[in-house]
Amino acid sequence: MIFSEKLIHKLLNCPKEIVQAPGKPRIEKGHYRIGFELQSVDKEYYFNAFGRYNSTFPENFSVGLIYFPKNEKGSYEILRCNGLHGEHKLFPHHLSFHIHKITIEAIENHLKEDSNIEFTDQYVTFDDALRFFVKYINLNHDDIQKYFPGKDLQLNLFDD
Amino acid sequence: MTEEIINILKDQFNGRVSIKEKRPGIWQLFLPFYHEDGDMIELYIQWENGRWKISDFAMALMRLSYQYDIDTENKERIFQKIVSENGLIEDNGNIFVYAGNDNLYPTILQYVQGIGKVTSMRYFKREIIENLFFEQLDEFIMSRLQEYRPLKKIVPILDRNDLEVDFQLTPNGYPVFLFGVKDVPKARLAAICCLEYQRTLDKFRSYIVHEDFNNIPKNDIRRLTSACDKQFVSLDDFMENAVKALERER
Repeated sequence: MIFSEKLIHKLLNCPKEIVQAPGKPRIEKGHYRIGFELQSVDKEYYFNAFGRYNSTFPENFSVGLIYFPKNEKGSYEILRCNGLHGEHKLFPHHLSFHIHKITIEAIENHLKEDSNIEFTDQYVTFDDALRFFVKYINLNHDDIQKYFPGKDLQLNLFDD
Repeated sequence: MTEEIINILKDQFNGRVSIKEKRPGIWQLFLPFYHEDGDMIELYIQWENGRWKISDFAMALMRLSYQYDIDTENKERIFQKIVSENGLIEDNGNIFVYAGNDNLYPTILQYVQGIGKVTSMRYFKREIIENLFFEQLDEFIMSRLQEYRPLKKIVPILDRNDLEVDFQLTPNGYPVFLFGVKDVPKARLAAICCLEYQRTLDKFRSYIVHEDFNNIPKNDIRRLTSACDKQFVSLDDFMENAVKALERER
């Protein structure tokens, strides 16, 4: 798979729609989880999205996007919004909410594709992160309204 | 208690450690151990029944689950083997180990190594393992079937480089042509090759080794079954029965 800045931008920002709805959230082996499948509206690109948060430390969460190329096997983790789980190698001694994003540099240097991070103050809870995520990846408005309407997903998850 | 453990760890880690209370009685250790994406390996420590409990509060399995789930008996068996062989314990996703004051340092190193192996289970993803099929087939043939004089990448029909076979074995006076098949295009190519060999060559046998017989559509299997002499439904099947089959060719 050959990535370019243009392709990465397109993968992250192309309008998307849900093709497999997020199932009922469930707890499994110490974490809560949801997942859903997406495609670009032009049906060129396919993705999985996942949401996880730790059952003991709910501030340790991740919401991510995985790209599945159409004509080859394999997958790439192209975006992940993380909570306050710990430090990062690039910024030791610094705890922050952060976003992992695929970069050409990481791929060219044979690193894990999403090893680059940037700090963010766009969210502080799993709910915030999920809402930030679906807007960031340009999920269509109807799907956002349909699948992520409430404000207290994390509380609802606990209720389940 | 915090000061005590900080001092113990600072001493044992030569100062390269920091610690923060995550919850009452639970401290997060910040040590220079990182996952492949640069995130620090999550390590927590608490005093429990007169000893230190080092754990991850299920963070390793949560991380693994982004792209890989332990959702089969076989995966669970491998996971449990990694955990136990690294001297760790797992309870509902939480991986932990106990240590005393005197052996915190080696126990943490042992723990981190085990966590690294657990999170490396993502490399067992099907698309990665599948890529090993030809390597495993090659290794088995070249090491275990030497008696049958294996040759690689043979062109049985002169001037037909497009009809190359993966391996040739010679148990007797005539060749056994062997194709490794893991997908539909290769299944079709193998069928075409076998039919062309039949039109051109006098005596030979043709074997197919499937990566997974069930992954090939019915019509392709029908064509292959008609064109070739023997099929092995998987690499395991081939490894178990290859010698018997080749002996029957003698």
